[in-house]
Amino acid sequence: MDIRVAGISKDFGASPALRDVSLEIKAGELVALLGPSGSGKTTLLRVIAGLERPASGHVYFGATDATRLSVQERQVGFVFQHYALFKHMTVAENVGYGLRVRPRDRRPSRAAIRQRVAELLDLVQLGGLGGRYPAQLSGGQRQRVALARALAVEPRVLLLDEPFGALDAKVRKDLRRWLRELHGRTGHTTIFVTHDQDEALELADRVAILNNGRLEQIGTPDQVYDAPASAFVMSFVGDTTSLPAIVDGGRVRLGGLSLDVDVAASKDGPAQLYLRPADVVLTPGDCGGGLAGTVAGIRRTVAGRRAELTLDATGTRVEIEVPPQQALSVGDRAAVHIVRGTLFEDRA
Amino acid sequence: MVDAAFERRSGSAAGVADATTERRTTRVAATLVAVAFLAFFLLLPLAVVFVEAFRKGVDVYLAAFGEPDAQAAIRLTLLVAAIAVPLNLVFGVAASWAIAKFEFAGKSFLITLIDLPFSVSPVVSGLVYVLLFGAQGLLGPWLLEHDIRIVFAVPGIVLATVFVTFPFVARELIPLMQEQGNSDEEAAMTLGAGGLRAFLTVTLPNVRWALLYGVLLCNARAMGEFGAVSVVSGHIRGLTNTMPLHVEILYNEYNFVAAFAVASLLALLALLTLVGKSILEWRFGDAISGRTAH
Amino acid sequence: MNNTAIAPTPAEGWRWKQPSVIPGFGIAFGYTIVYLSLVVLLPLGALVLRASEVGLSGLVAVAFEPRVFAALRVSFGVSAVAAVVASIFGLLVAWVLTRYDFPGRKFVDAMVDLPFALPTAVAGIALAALYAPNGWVGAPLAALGIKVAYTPLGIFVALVFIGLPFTVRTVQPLIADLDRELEEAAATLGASRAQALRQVLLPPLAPAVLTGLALAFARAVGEYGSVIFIAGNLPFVSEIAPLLIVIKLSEFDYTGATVIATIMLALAFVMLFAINLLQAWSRRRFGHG
Repeated sequence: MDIRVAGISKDFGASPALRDVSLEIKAGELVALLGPSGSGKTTLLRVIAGLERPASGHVYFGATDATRLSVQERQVGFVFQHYALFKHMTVAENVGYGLRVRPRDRRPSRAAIRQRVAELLDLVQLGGLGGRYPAQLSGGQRQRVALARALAVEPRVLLLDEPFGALDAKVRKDLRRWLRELHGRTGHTTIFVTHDQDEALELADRVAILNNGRLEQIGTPDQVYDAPASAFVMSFVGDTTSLPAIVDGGRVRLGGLSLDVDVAASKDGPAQLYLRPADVVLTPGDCGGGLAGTVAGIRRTVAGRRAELTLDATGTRVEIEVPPQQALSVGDRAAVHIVRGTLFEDRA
Repeated sequence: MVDAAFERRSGSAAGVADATTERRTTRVAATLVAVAFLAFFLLLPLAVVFVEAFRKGVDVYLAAFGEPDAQAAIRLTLLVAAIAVPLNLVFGVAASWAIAKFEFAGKSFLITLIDLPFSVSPVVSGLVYVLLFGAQGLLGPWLLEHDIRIVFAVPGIVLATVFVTFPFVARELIPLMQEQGNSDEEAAMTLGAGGLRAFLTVTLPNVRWALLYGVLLCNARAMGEFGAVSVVSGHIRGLTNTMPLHVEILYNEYNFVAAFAVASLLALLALLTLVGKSILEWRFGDAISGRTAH
Repeated sequence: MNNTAIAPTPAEGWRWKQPSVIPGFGIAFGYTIVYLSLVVLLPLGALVLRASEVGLSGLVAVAFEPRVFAALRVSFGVSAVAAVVASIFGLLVAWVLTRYDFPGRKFVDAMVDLPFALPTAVAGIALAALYAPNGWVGAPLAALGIKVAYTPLGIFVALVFIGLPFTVRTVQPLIADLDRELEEAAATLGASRAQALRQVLLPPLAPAVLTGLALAFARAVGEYGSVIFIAGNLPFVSEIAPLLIVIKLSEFDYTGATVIATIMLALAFVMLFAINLLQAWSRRRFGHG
């Protein structure tokens, strides 16, 4: 089912939690709400679920305006950050709960509920564990019970709040892949909240990035990474360094250099040049060209090595990826050649 | 606390039910029933004490305390509390030190034994001392021979009071000290403090509010105990009558105003205890309960 | 338990006490045991000794003396009803105090402990005055033909008063700790508020309610001061077991007193044991006390 959020605003006391957020999610899509803590991403998820009421704006499920519908009426599947499993019920009772509480005329028979629970437990690979209590399960298993319970009500949309937040790194990675596969099989419209950019980029069809209660950008992982709509998106998704620069008549001037960067979008005046580690090339020695500086540190990363260079002109530090074989030590002189860069107006 | 947030949260958009609280009408109705029930069962009896005490005016009220017997009862009550509370205070500290700071087999059984006096009827608490020290008791003949009076005398009253107030300090301290663990003491000792010094400068300050809390409850019960003391006292006016026993005697003599006057003093003690307890809970709640936020 | 004492290696075998760098165990433990023995165990031992002289058959014989039996029945019966009523209202009071905000909430919360703080004799004469046929509550009830004071109903009123704080205080921390996500989860699954309360929120509170009920019951059975003034103390009707102990003592019938006390003590042990079992079960099942 399509989900449309239109002009949602919400305050908690004096501080605004959501400011005029609008976005559309197509049926069957898997969308990540990404942002730092306090960005409003969880609040937005809860507004969609009906757990919070917005101060203004509307939530549409397909063509119907769901804004005034209660949580119970919205028929969403919500997986809570800490799973919120009912400790006094078995796994099977937990999964079947949403079916058992239906009014009599819409409630499936006991046998049908049992059957549906068994199917769901198989789907989340917990077949045979229906008789256990949540306290007897591992974290990853509890997560999957929570998911099965949310799926049992045949939700119009599946909402997950930091679904992997409480798990350790290894389990997280496995579950991430598994959730992707599960989504491929069931095709539920799914929205999940995360503060982890890797998780968002790897899992989602589209990523919505929130900051300070505003929607900064929504797009495919490629779009948000390669064509960030704002300085915030640029710096939040992936590693970046920024350098103060000046745009002047179609050219970018930085520390006495004139750079060949696309400035089509920028007005003349002070700006920030954002660089990814792969956007720059490092040349050892004091030979001319580029921005000269001194190597301040070298760190090993999983992929290669990363050098930190203090630029003579601005005193700023730039991170640059260097090939592992390149000889380089702290205190060496080197120069930076900027291959690509993204300009945003100086916000200061 | 969290509850205020619940109420505020639910105050938002009208019409749609909040997922985490009851409907407003339900809330109001439940609150009214609960408060009415408490007012009826708790406040009314309290109010009656003071109303009956002042029924014949302030002069008659005050006259009740001019009686030598009343004054003797007040003195005895203070004396008994002054002996029983420090005894159980020292015990509570020793027991919680042994139980919370060390691991040994049979610990939970020991805790159960310490809690035991709470589960024993006050009357039985008095009875056991009569069976031990009474004229027909186990040690009775020996005591008689040496002319030592325990039952129907002040020592018996003190013993029975110590028995019924036995767990109060210990049960406040044990959970708190278990929660706090040993790391503070161990840190003090790595810094060169001896065991006693670590106890005085680290442990005691950590538990001081809980200690005070326990003492407060212990004292209230020590001054107010009736059943146990009644069995061992022998009700000798002016000699072995505590305030609660004096209340009983006056009441049974149909001297209601005097009975309620002395009772009002005890009720005042109860109210002061509640005030002190509440202040400790509001200001030092975390330092008392040993429940860390999670 | 976050005790950091170094655990013995398995090779060292079983030890009664784990070694620790913290001093003072000997003196603290020794003092605890000696004081506990002198004040609690020795006197209770005297009771057990006395009871063992009577023997089981003597115990049964006394227990089934009509007057003793009637007193035990009154004590246990009225206590059970009073504990149930106190627990039902205790649960409601705990919920209201923890979940709702209203003017005077802190005051009401503090008042709940009044029965713990108020000397029982004071409560006793106050209740007697209140429910006497000419009292504030007794008079209107008498007009309706209901007699409270000097009947088992009076005992019931006193025992509800005494039992009230127990369930409130055992349940309150659990209600405060209830995870808000649980209620939201129930709601997203389509449960109405009533269903969420009944099926999701209240069941985890059951062990604490039962613990409070057991504590209130144990206290009620042994209660003396607050009951005797309002009960009327009519043998076979409104005479409670603790009072009968006092009467037997005043008649120098130490054996009779001992037997009744032993029966009540045995019950106290059973209750204590049941509470411990209940809490252990609840910890295993729900991961909290």
